[in-house]
Amino acid sequence: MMNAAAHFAVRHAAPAAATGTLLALSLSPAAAEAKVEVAKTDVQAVKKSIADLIEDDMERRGDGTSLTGTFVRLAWHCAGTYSKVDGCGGSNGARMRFSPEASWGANAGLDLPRKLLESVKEKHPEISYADLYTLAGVVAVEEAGGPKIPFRLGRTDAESGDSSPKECGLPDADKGSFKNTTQHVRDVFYRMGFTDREIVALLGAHALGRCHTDRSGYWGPWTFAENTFSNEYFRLLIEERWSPKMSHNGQPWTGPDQYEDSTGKLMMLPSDMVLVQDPAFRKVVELYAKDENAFFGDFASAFSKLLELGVDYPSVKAWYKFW
Amino acid sequence: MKFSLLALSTAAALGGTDAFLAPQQPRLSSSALAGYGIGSWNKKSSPSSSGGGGAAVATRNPWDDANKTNTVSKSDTFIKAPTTKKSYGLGSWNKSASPGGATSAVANAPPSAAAATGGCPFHANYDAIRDELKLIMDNPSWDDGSLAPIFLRLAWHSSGTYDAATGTGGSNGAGMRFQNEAADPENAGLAPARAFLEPVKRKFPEISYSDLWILAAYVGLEVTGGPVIDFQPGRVDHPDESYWEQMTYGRLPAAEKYCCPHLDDSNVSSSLDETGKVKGWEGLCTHVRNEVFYRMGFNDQEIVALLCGGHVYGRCHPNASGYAGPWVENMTEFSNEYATDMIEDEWTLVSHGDTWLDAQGSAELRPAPGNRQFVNQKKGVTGDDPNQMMLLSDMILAWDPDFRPILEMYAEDEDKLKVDFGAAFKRLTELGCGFP
Repeated sequence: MMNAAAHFAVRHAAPAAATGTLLALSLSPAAAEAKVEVAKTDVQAVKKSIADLIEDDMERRGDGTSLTGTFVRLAWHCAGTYSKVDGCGGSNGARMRFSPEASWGANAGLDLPRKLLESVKEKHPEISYADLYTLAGVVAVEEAGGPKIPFRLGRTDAESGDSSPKECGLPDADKGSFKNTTQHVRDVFYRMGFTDREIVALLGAHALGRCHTDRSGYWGPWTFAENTFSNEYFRLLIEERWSPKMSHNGQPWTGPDQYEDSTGKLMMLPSDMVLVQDPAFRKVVELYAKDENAFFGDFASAFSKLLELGVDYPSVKAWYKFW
Repeated sequence: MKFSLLALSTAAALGGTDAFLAPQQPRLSSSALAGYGIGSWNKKSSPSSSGGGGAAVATRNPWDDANKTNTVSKSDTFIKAPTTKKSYGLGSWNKSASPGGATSAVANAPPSAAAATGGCPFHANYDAIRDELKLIMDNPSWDDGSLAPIFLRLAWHSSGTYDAATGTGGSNGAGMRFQNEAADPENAGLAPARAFLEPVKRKFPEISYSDLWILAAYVGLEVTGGPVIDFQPGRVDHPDESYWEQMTYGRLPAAEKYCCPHLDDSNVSSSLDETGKVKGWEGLCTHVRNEVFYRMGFNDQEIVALLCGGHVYGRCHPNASGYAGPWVENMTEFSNEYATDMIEDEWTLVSHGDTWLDAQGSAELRPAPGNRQFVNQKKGVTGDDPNQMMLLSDMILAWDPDFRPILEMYAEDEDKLKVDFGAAFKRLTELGCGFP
């Protein structure tokens, strides 16, 4: 029986031993020219391995944090290099394993999830790193109670960082002023091909995880439930009063400019605050703060779109043509 | 700065600077010139050791600690000296080193100079600072979309500690950066105001905190249709907390002081006398008039002007002051609405137990446990009126026979209120600063 994954013909640069059943299919005209192999990857099994990894790690930590935020960030930072202008970047290639992407400041701290996912790769060698890293983000959202994210296998792994974009196109959290930061956020996401509404939806992923002073330099979770995917981020943006962070653990805060709520336990980045200060973004924030279903629906499609940017899936038309 | 030191000293020699400077330029008088790093002109006498540095416990209604957010602990307040911001991560991707950005300004400023002397007004670019303040003033994610009200309150509470008899207190020094003054229950809720101004100070280290906190209020008034007040720079920041030895809590007004005790949140009407005034209001009046404003050197007309102008701005918060809601409908613009509404509307005394407020869409007017205030709503009467409140210390303006005619004058004449409020607020914010 052919599962969905087998319908895609991809040049699979599989390292070392290929275990499991290999189906040789040539579905699209382009792929017909080269000898194509598709490994039959059991997506559900890989997802379960990732989910187990998250759960075991969370138990081991025992401090109320988890890998969910980190895995989403890994997937996002793989994909967020994409530019629709030249088609460069995107999650295909898993280029974060190499320089220059591995040493971009924006990717500080992401060596940890890559290292942990090696154990999953060992158990399921047939999945590409690129699919694995993006799938980890999908699993994180779903395990945290978020919506089902449409996901397709089919990414391949690059052999080096040569095809990486020259400059890091991932967003900065702060460009010095509200006006500049807002423009920057738009610049980055419009470059990938997103609308204002999709931008707001994607930022809702800040419901998960936290910042670390020894990674990005910022500190803290956005919400009180950092392992739960919900619209809490939007509710807090609207309902809480956010002021510049002045102190941390009783000492003056000497990190980068960020915001804190009245308890001092939560944070927002300047790029988060842009969402409530810009009128167009704010409207969407208000919608999602009231309507979690709308947020979930929009997030699922925007996140799925993000993870597929720049990935060359053969068209369905070709498949029908084959048959 | 558009003028040189030579021009300044010439101006000083002539004993006045007005003739030389365009209206928006800061006016530096000779005494301000002499103040910079030379001597301690702002300290009248050596700190008197009056029974140790103990600050008197604020006498006001008992706090409900669970609701109070002014839980400034020993380690919370500090002098935030300008520092170069460090990113601890690999690289500094979150900070772009753009010229003129905050990072470069901080990197260039000598930290000790700015922290110790509170800046140097010779080099502060007041026009640029004003522009920066205008940029941050409208904040859609803050109360009612504006920081102007909280900046006004920061300036007022910095200034309102002044005691003419001893020459202590006043806006000079920006003492609220320090533990003791920040922990004054009357200063609850002002930490965010200081936090919002911190990035401005980092960007312009030459201005003192004392001057910045006052300028922020002046700009707030300007951009909201309020009076345009000439800004006089030259305040010097306290280098440490030793100034507190001459200070006490209790200098800022408490909203219900000396009124009859309020023991029962379920029976607030027992606080009212047969004329609808809160029993003991005359004591509160003495507190506001004599203990607070006469102490600073104001007269009745100035007291009424300050309250009528100041309380059209902003709102109270149950977890800060313990009171709840705005005084007027348009709480981010200047007007005489406070005066007109106090006279024209009907005011109902409520306390925390008046949950009917929540049922009628007026939850924002219900104070914290133990506090009483007046509201423009009536139990069982729903309507379109916006939620408005008055503190007991506001109502004395209507109850006191000497305050009342002045209140009525401002209710009739908004322009006069604007002029009088501007003059009184300028005077308030310059108390104790040693300006000529």
